Amino acid sequence: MSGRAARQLLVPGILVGAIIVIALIVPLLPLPDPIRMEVSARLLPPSAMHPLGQDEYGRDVLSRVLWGARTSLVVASLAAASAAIAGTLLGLLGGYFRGFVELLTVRSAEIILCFPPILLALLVVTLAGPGAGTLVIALSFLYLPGFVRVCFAETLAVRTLDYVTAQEALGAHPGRILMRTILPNVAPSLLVQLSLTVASALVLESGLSFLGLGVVPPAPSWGLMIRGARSTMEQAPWLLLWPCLALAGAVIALNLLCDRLRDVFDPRTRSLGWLARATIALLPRSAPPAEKPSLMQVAGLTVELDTPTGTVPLVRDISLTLAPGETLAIVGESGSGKTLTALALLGLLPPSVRLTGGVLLFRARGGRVQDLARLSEPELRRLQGDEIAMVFQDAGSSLNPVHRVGKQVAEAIRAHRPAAWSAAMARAVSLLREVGLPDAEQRVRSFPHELSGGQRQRVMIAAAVANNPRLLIADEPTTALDVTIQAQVLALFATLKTRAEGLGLIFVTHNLAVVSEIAERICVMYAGEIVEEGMAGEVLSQPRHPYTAALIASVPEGGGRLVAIPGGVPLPSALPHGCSFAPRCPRASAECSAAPPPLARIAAGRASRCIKWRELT
Amino acid sequence: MNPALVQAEGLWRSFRGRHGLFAQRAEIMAVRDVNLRIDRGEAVGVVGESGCGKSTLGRMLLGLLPPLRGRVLFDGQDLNGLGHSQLRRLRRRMQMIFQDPYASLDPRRPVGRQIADGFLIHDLCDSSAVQDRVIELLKLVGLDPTHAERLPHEFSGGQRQRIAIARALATKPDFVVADEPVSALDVSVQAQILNLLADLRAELGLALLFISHDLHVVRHLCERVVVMYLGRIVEEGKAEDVFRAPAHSYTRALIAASPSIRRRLRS
Repeated sequence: MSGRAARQLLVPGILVGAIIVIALIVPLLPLPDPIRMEVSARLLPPSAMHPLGQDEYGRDVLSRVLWGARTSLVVASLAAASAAIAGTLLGLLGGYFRGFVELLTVRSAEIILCFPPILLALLVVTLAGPGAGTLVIALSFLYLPGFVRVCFAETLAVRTLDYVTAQEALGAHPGRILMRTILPNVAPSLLVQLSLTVASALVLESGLSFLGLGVVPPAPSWGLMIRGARSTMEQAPWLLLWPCLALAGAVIALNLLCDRLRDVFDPRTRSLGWLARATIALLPRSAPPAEKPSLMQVAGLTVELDTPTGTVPLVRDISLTLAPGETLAIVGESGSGKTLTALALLGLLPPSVRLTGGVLLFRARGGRVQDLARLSEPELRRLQGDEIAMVFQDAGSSLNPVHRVGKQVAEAIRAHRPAAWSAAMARAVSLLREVGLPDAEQRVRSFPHELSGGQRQRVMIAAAVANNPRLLIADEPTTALDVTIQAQVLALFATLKTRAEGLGLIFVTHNLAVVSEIAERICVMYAGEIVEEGMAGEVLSQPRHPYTAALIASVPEGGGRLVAIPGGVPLPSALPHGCSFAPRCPRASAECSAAPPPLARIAAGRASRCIKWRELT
Repeated sequence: MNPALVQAEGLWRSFRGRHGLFAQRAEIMAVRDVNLRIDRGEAVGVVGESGCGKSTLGRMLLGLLPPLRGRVLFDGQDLNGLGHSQLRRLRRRMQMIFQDPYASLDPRRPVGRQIADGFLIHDLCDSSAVQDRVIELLKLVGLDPTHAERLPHEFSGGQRQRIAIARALATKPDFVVADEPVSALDVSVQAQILNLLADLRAELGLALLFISHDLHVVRHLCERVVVMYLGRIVEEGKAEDVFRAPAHSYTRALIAASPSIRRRLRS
C-alpha cells in the first residue's frame, strides 16, 4: 500500500481500532460490574466513582456503555461477516456460471429484499425468541442480498476481462479462477460494503434491542440503555445522551473508514486543475518574438512534472510554427511527450503537470495575436472548442455515454454561440452529415454505445469542427480504429481541410505510415525534445536523424525481418547524458554522450538534433 | 497427407444482439461455414475488420466458445466431444495471446506467479523448479529475470505483451492463437514483438493463428493468409500471393486502406 493510502486510512483506522480494542479489553478494565444493581443510588448524576452517572437501577453507566460496545460490536460484526462470506460465495457462483446457478443464488437471495427489514427481523425473532444469537442470524439474513448483489455485479464485470479468459485458456479449474483471480479483484468493493454493513447492523441491532427484540436484559447493550433511559428521560436526561453518543461515534468512525477505503481503492487523483492553470498566468512576461505568426507560433515550450523530490522536465524547449491550411504531424513513441505538447497548446494539462516556460502565440479570428500561455482561465475557455478544437484518441470515453450524440454536438455549438436548441440541433444534423455519418437524421438520436468506433470518432470530429475552428489538434485520432475505418477517417480530415479554408491541423501519432498519408510537415519527438523536423516527403525519404530512420524501418511493409529499435524511451527522470537517443542508436559513439546535441538547422524549415546528420544519407 | 494439428470443419457461430429495450432479439451470425486447416509449425494469418468474426473463430479453435454447428479437431480429437476435465488437460497444448496487454494480466498478482500458473495448473514441474522455469521464460521473451516479483503496472505495454507471451509459452504449447497482439502497441514496439514471435516460432516449432486487421503485419509473420469478411472466408492463400495479386475485391480494399510510406514516396 502506498504512503498516501496509509495516511488516508490513519485517522479512521485509529478510531475504529480504538473502539475494537476497548470492546476487547473491557473485562480487564477496573470497572464496576455492569449488571450489579444499587437501587439506593438510582439516577444519580455523574460523580467521581461513576463518571457517567448511574442508571434507573443504580448500575454504573460508564461500565454499561463499554460493555455495551462489546455486545453491539460482536453482534454487528458477526452478522456482517457471515453475510459477507455467504453473499460473496453466492455472488461469485452466480456471476461466473450465470444461467441456472444465477437463478438459484442471486435471484433467490433477492427475495429477502421484498420484505421490510424490521418486519423480517421481527418475524425471525418472534419465531426463534430474542437473544444475541437470534439477532446475529436475523441481521445476517437481512444483509445477505447486499453482498450477493455487489459481488455478482463485480464478478460480471471482471469475468469478461481478458485475464480471466487467459486463465480459462490455461486450463485452470473454475474453482481456482474464482478464488485466485476473480475474488482478489472484487474484494475492494466487498471490503467497502463490509464496513458499511457493520455500521448499519450496529444501528439496527440497537433498534431491535430498543424494541425489546434483541439482547435480553440485564445484559448491557446500547439499544437497551436507550430503552431504559427513555422512561426516566425527565429525571435523568443525560442517561439518554451516553448510549446515543457511543452509537453515533461508532457509526461515524466506521463510515469514515468506509469512505477512505473507497478512496484508497479508487485512486483517481484529486483535481489540482485550478492550481496548475493559475500558475500559467504567473509566467514571466517575456518579449514576444518580432515576427507575427500567421496562425500559431510556439517557442521554448517546456512542461514539467512536480514530484516530491523536485521537478522533472517532460517536454523541453519545443518550438513549432503552423501556417493556416497547413498539416503538421507530431510523431513519436509513447513517452516522447507528443501528447503533452498537444495538451499544453490547449491549456489542458493534467494536474501536477505544469507549463513552466514558453510563448504560445496564436492569431485569433479578428487577427489579434494572443499568447495562450498567459491567458486567464475564462479567456482560454472562450478559445477552447471555438477557435481551437481537439479530437482525442478514444472517442468511446470522450463522448458522454448518457446523452444522445446530436445533443452533444449541439451543446458544443451552444457553448460558444447563443443559438436556440432547434437551430443548434439542425446544425448538428448537417455537421454529422458532413462528417459522413450514415443516416444522420436518425443517428442524432443515438447514444454513443449504439455507434461503431469509427462512427463515434466521426461524431467527435463533428463536435470539434462545429464552431469552424482555425486550429484543430488531433491526438492519435485513428489509432483505435481498423485500417479500413482509419483510411476513411484520414480521408475525412483531408476533406475537412479543403472545405474549411485556412484550417490548421496538428496531427499527433506514433504511426509514420499514417503520417505519410496526411502530413505536409513532420516534427519527430523523442524523450521530450524535437529531434527532427522538415517537409514530410523529405523527412520520409531522407531522414536526417537515426531515430526517424529507425521509426521508418520498423513500419511493416513488404516482407522480411523488421528493424526494431532496441529498448524503450528513457524515463524523463533518468535521461542519459548527452544525446537521449544514443543508448538505442546504431551509430552512437563517445562524442554523442559528451553533451546534449543542439537542434541543427540543415536547410530552410529542416532541422536535426544529431551531430552526425551529414553522414546520414 | 499428414493429419492437421487443428482442423475446423463447417464452423458456424451466432450471437444474440438486441437493439433498444423492447425490440426483438436478433441473431447475428459471427462466423459462417468456416473451414480451416493448420499444420504443425505453420503460421496462418486471419485478416479482417472488427466484427468480421476473426476473434470468434480464434476462440472456437481453442474450445473457449462452442460452435453452433461444425466441429474443431485438435490433433484428431473433437473438442466438442471432450468432457470439461479432458478439455482442461488438452489446454496445455493450446494457448492464447490477447490484444490488450493492460487487460490480459491480473493487476493484483506479481507477473512471475502469473507466468507460473500454466505449469502449476498442469503439474508440469516440481515446486522447486518453478522459480528456474519462470526465469528461463522471462529470458526467453527478453525481459529481466529479476523482475518476476513486480506487478503488471510497473511494465510498459510492450513489456506486458512479452509477459503475456511468456505465460502462453509456459506450458510448451503446440498451437498459439494470437488475437491482435500488436495492434495496441507503438509501431517501434510492434516490430520488437513481431520479431520475437517469429524467433519463438522458429525456435519452438509453434503453430500460430495470428489475428489482425492489418495485412502488412500478417505478411511479416505468416506463410498463409485467410481473409474474412462478414463471418466468411473470402480469400485464402500464400501470404505473398494474396498480397501481390489479391483475388477478392475486399482484399484489394484492405490493401488499399493500409497506410504506406512507400506509396507516398512513389507518388
